[in-house]
Amino acid sequence: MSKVQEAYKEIESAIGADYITDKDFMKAAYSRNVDPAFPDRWADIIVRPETTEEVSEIVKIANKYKIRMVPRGGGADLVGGSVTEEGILLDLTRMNKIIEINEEDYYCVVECGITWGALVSELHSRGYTTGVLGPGSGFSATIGGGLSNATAGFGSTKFGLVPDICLGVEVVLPNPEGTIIRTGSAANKYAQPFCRYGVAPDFTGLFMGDVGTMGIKTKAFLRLFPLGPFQSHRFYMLKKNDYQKVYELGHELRKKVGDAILDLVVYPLVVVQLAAGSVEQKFKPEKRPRLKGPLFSIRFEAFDQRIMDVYTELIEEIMTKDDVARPFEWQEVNLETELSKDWKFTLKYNFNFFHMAISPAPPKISCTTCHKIPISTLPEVAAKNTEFFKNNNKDYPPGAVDLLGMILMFLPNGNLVVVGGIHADNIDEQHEAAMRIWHKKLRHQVKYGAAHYWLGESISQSIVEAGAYEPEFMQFFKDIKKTVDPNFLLSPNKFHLNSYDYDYTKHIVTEEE
Amino acid sequence: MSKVEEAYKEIENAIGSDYITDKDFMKAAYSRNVDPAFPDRWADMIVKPESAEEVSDIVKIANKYKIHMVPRGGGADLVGGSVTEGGILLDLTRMNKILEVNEDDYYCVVECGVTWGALLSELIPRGYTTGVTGPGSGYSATIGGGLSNSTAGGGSAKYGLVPDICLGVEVVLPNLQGSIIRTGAAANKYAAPFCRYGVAPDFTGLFMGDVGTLGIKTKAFLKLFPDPPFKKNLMYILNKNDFQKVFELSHEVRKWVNDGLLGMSFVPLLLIQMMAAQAKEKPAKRPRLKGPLCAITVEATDERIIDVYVEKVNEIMTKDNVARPFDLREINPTLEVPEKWTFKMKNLFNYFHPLISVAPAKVTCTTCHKIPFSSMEEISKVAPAFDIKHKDEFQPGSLSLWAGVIAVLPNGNFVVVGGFNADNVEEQRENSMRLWHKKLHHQVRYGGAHYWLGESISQSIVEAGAYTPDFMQFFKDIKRTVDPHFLLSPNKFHLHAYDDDYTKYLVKEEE
Repeated sequence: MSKVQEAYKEIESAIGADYITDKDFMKAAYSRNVDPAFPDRWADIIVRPETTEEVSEIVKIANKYKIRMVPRGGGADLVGGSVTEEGILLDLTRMNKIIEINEEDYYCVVECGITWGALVSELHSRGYTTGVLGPGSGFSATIGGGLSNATAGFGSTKFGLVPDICLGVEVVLPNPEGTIIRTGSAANKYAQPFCRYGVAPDFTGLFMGDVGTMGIKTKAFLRLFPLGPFQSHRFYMLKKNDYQKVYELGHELRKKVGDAILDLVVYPLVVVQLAAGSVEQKFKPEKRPRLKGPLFSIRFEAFDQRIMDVYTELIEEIMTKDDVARPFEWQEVNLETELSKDWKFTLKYNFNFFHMAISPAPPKISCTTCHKIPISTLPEVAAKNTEFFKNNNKDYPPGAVDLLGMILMFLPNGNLVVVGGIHADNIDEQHEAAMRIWHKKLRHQVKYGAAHYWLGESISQSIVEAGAYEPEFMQFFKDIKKTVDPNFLLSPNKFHLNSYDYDYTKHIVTEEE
Repeated sequence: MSKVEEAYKEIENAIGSDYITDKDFMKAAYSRNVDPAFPDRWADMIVKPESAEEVSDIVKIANKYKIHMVPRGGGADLVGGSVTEGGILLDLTRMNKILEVNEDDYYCVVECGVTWGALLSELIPRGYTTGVTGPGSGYSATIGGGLSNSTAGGGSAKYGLVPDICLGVEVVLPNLQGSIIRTGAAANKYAAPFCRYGVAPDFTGLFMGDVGTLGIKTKAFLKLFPDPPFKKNLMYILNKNDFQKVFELSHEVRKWVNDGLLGMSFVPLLLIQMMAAQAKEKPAKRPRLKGPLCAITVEATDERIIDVYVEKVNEIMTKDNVARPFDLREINPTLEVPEKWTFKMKNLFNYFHPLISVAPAKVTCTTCHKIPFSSMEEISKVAPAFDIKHKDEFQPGSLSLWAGVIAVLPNGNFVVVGGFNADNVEEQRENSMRLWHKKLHHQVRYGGAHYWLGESISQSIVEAGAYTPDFMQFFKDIKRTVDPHFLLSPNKFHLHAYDDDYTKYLVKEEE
């Protein structure tokens, strides 16, 4: 028997035969994420553990046979994060229980394989929320994936990123013992998981944004917030295509309306024009819309109608001062849409968002380049993006579209995420070219000081390639990795962390431009 | 030459002779913190580095000679955190520069030896704040100390603990190379330190609440918030001594005034009575004191909003006659609390002196810990019961407060600020130390989450068996990775050496 076959047998005896497979049919089903930029990757074994103890058993066996592992949540991933060429793919979506909703102490305990959609639906019906509602793909994306990718999402302007609401995790370390540890106040075995800091150093951090390289998260302890009973949505369109103004308005809104804004999203002009252009003929308004600049979408909340009225007034005042922007209604471009005064919050808004506005058609190759920048650098970054496209035009696959972003979302404290990417046709001859220009663009962004987050394989590798990590940092990273994963079995390709003595410097690309 | 003398020479060569000393006079000056519960501890040498590079050089030399090190900020510490018996004491207070206040992108970069007082005095006049304003001892406590102790403080009800505002750190690892690394967005060497998550795993966490065991923080990147211009102080007193109501009111105010709630804290009835009794000037009318006092501060960006907040707080607090508005002048005509909150160093940072800290000349055994909202009532019974049960073990004249202040934190937890004291005389110290650990074990076992852990509390958590063997192994593995010789703050968490068996410190249930 091969070592894979032996491992298969052992895992089967440990967790039973129902949720382990090595059949081609299933390997194919798990061979890709949303994004076809990567070749299909077939795991040797796909397991669907139900408990932390089962995950631990699998980890021990993987260590015994030195077989690599990759954890997978919803697979709603564009960066090669949750597939593996050979090895064991751990599908964690059976671990999808809400274990506790503690309304008294404002926290909840969930298994990491639960989707954002399922959790938030349950919470909202009770008048609570996780604040940040997880990625736009929360329809299928899991809590574990949100934490591993340190994701932003709706609500992030107010509540921060997904790790900001995390009070700790239960995690299986990828070491030969399959050690199970709990972080946050739960590091005290007598304590409930009610707060993050204290008890011990904040080991939670190691597993936030680790892209599944440091451990396999099995439970998460999350903050709950009371759900603001009053929510509004307003749109404003700038009268000029001026990113300096976008920054200034974002800064001003944070200052004057700080507490209220759930999400402040800006659509670049070209995106609004594209949206207008794709409206079905029968819903096109008679009058041609006047589209002159970026569109501000502001969703805000309050706990009292009078407070809501004040916030509405403050926002109007800031946005329309000096005739910089005007109120906007989507009906100006599409008669089918509702007026903002009639807007009601639905989960559809959050979790189908990617489908209509952000992700290029999934049959295409989408090379996502979402990254955070300080808000004051927006005008410069916008100019750089145009310049990069101009300078590298010949390297893009024919017909590829590259926008600054589909949206810009403001985050605390003063940064924003540029949600964007490149896409190309999903045909063989474009894959390699797309992958090459994707990495190049990522390196370019890293070098102008961007902070990427859902790093998966392609982005984490590009950061290394750009030489962004100092040698001492990289050594520290490897040392920590080795401490929890001595055989380098968990998600080995990411960050080019293949083994302890692997020389990452050979991947450094001295560019370019 | 002894290894200490050799190390001294080498450090002197590396950083110059002005800021290194082994003179008894200075050793004595650095031999204690605020709290005399611990015996005075004399370091072998005291160094005051000025840069991360100097810290790194010191670390390399300490590793060469295997001499242990303890970093020290303001020394405003009650838990044996910043002194060392032998070894090198690193006083980081010369690293006190504010390197950047970035109002455009709402963050700042500071050296970790700057005090909370100095930083806020710079930020507030410009209309910015760090949100949480650091520990009550921020007069001398440093940013680095606040991060190492994951401290709560002013503004914590809204902005969380000190680590919640941290976007990353520059830190010198205690390894042989004295590696300097930067975390957060700054892990990308091309990037400004403008956000915490992304770029790499959140290694920042390792250095939050580590009590100086995993690295020596040299720079911190912190969030800035625009300081809302409207703030109001409100005060109530409960009509019954009922801690279930303390929970319920906190829960309601959190729910309906969430965004505006800058601070909310309770002072137990006993303390208010003591304050009333000690007042030099007595009011004409004898005050009616029936339950805990509740102090609330709300803030908003618009005056109309703050009016609604005040109305809501009033509505919640006075509903069903649970509490009534209270004015400190009812117990002392000279105590005036301004209705409008303004930044005053004195208010924020001398806070500990009258209310919390028992006279520092005494042995103070602090037991600050966090508990979930809903366990308030139970703890209000369990905690005093411990004192009654062990009353014979308290020293004569010792005062024990299970809570001096109970402050609301996000999401739904309280910090119970309390402790007990004893006279600072030889024969009381050892007994107090024993009882202190016992009390801490008790709190750990009812599920308390302590934060400024220093030596006494971190050790007590280990002794109580709170960490599972797997967790302890993981902790040691991480410790060894950054500090192979276990030189940095070795006593804390009983982490002395990699093969030291911590189970010998375990204390069985004592009740």
